[in-house]
Amino acid sequence: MSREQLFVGLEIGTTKICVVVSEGLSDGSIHIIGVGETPSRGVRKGEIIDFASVTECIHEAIVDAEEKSNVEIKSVWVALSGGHLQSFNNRGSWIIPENRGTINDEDLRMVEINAKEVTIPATNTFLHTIIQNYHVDGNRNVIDPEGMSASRLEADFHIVHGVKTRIQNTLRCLESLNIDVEDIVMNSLAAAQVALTQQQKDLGALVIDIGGGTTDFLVYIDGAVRHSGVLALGGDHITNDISIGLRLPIVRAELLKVEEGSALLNDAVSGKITLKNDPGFSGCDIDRRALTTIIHARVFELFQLLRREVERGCHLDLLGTGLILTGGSSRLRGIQAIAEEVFRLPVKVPSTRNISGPTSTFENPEFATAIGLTKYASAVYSQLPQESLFSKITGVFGGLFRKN
Amino acid sequence: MNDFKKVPVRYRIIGAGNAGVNFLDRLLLVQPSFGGLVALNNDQEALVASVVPNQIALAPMVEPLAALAEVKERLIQEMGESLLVVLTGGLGGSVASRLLPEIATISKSLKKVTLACVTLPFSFEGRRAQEMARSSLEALKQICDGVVLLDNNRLVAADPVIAKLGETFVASEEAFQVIIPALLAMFFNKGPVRITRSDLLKALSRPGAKTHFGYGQAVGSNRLHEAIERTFKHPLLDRGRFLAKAESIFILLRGPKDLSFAEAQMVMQEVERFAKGEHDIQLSVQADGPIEVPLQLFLLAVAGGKDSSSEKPAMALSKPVEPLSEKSTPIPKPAPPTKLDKDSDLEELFPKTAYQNPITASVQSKSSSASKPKQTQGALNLTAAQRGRFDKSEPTIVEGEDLDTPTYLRWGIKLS
Repeated sequence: MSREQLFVGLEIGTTKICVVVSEGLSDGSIHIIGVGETPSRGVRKGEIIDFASVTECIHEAIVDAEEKSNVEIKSVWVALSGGHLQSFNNRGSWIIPENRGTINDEDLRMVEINAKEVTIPATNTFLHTIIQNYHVDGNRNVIDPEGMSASRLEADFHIVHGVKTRIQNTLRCLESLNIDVEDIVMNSLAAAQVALTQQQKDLGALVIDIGGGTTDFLVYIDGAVRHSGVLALGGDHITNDISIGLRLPIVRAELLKVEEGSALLNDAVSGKITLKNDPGFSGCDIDRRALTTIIHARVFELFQLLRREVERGCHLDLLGTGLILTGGSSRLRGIQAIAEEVFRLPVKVPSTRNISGPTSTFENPEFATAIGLTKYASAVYSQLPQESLFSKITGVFGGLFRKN
Repeated sequence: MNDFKKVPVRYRIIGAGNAGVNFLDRLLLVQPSFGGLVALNNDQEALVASVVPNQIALAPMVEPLAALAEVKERLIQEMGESLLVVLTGGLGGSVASRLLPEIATISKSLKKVTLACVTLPFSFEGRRAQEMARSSLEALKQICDGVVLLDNNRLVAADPVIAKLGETFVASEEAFQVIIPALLAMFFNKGPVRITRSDLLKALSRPGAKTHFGYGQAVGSNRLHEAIERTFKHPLLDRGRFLAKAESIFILLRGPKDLSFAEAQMVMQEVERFAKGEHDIQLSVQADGPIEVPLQLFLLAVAGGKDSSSEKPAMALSKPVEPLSEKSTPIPKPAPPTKLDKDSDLEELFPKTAYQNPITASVQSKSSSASKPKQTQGALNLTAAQRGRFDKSEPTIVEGEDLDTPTYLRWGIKLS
């Protein structure tokens, strides 16, 4: 990329692969320059199962984005999902050397290392260590302790880890295309950058990103990430249920879901939906009530599971903003009502402030993650000295990505 | 693996030699209440250090077989009214190699089902140990109703360069601390889903058969998948490759009370998928542990060998075994291999009135014996629930439920 403030977000989704090219503006907002997308092949439940197909699809999406944005893409920020991602909160502590007495960069680094000194499965690697708040000599909720006099520094972190080899697979796809990876970001964290304002994060919010193969969630309380997770369930499961229940090919089931599907049982007026003849498919009549029943059951169960998962990490009463739904499957008719019914929280659509460009892009929840990636990248970029950016990234992923 | 269920003591586990006694100590280390253990050794120091309550000390300076003859009465007494005798030890050592076949002969003469769970020596233990182990193993295979063999070399096969010597022995002992309780659980499981024991014995007694096993355990929402993954990756199963070659596969699934039908079903599906060909696959399920215990999966795969049904009865010898030493005290020969004996033994151990598990019966991919009576009881269908496009993908299991199966099906919603 010739311009320093250009960021490229890549989401390798189960349904589609999406590349967003954005320009970071001086006021912290981003301007979308171009979007490339291609239907995804070789991804199941957010994880790569066919290396060659995925690599080919990524290539197509990148070429598409290059053509639309007139930018040569050499590096990307990648979104990651999959049922293997796990998270927990942990506190690190660090004694400030007596001869110094003030907190510096090194202390912040050491307290983070200390927080990560926990046992995770041998096959896993850390993906994120997200600061929640610092404690300086018992003084809680310090936002920026650097330069403060102290004898002891503690910090709470939200730590995300996942299976190393599965993360490596994503990196290897891009390596084979000679595309550098600037950073890997958990799907929900990226989506939250678009879906939430800082005020909403402070009030407490739950972001649910329902994709084709996975549903990612992230909880913000008091402006910090408190809980996150991934359920390997998504829109594909709804399609699969329809396909099995109504005995339709997957492609027809997907079309039926998008065009006629609703999660609201109240919508289930009796009646027939006529599917026309297609090559290889003889048309038939579908009972609308049966379709709605299938979808409702799946969506209701999904939110029930999510509620249980979220309640393991936080109390729903702390989510003042409520619930933000994003991801392609959030466009399903009636899904917001089911979410409200299960969570008993207000459900909102993502705000699109601080984003400019083709409105068809940023108003489409399918692109929330990829756009969020570029927003995340812009935020990281603005906080780091230019020369340290590359070394930081190399440090994080150097061990993950060993060239043969 | 922690054994959370106390198995009724209808068995004896006899450990011979230093390795055998170590195996028993390991069992007690994991479960101090483990009963029915008998340690037999001529190393007094090792016996003193052992925590096994029932110990039979052999005269140290006497040839092992002669020393065994001196304690034969005590040994018979220890075997008591048990139905099953499991012999364990490390073949290659002089005590276990010489004594185990003799003890097996005694056990068989008392009409007990006799199994041997033994290790082969590491390659570095020398040619003499290997030869001694080989001859002892041949004798055991002829005498015992089944031999489960742990090839120590396979434990380090994954990375022999970095494997530490001490760790390899520990790994061998740890393998036994899982295998023996699992075998007992397969034999004595009274749960609703269990293995037909005569089939298990028949598979283990096939001449020339090789046994392989793997195990894994996990907790958490994705426990089944993780346990399956660990089991298949176990070095003793050669990363699952042996499953494809096996004729008989026996599965033991143990877990807490919330172990679900879907999890049992999933195990069968995964094993069947891995095994590919036509196999006799049987499942035994124990779901009576406390909620905090991990889900444990144990696979025993038997490959090769001719079907013993035509040549050798599962419970008796096809030919008398020569004593290994002429100096040894005459030991009662095992009963001749008559069909009548086989049936009576089987009936004593496994009465025909015993509950025939319909699930086990239904999941057998292949009838293991032509003479087996026809199942007349209604069978519970364990064929794969409809997973559609997710049929071949990694299952999403949450709280024991396979979420890839349509919700309306799992919730029993009728579509109009």
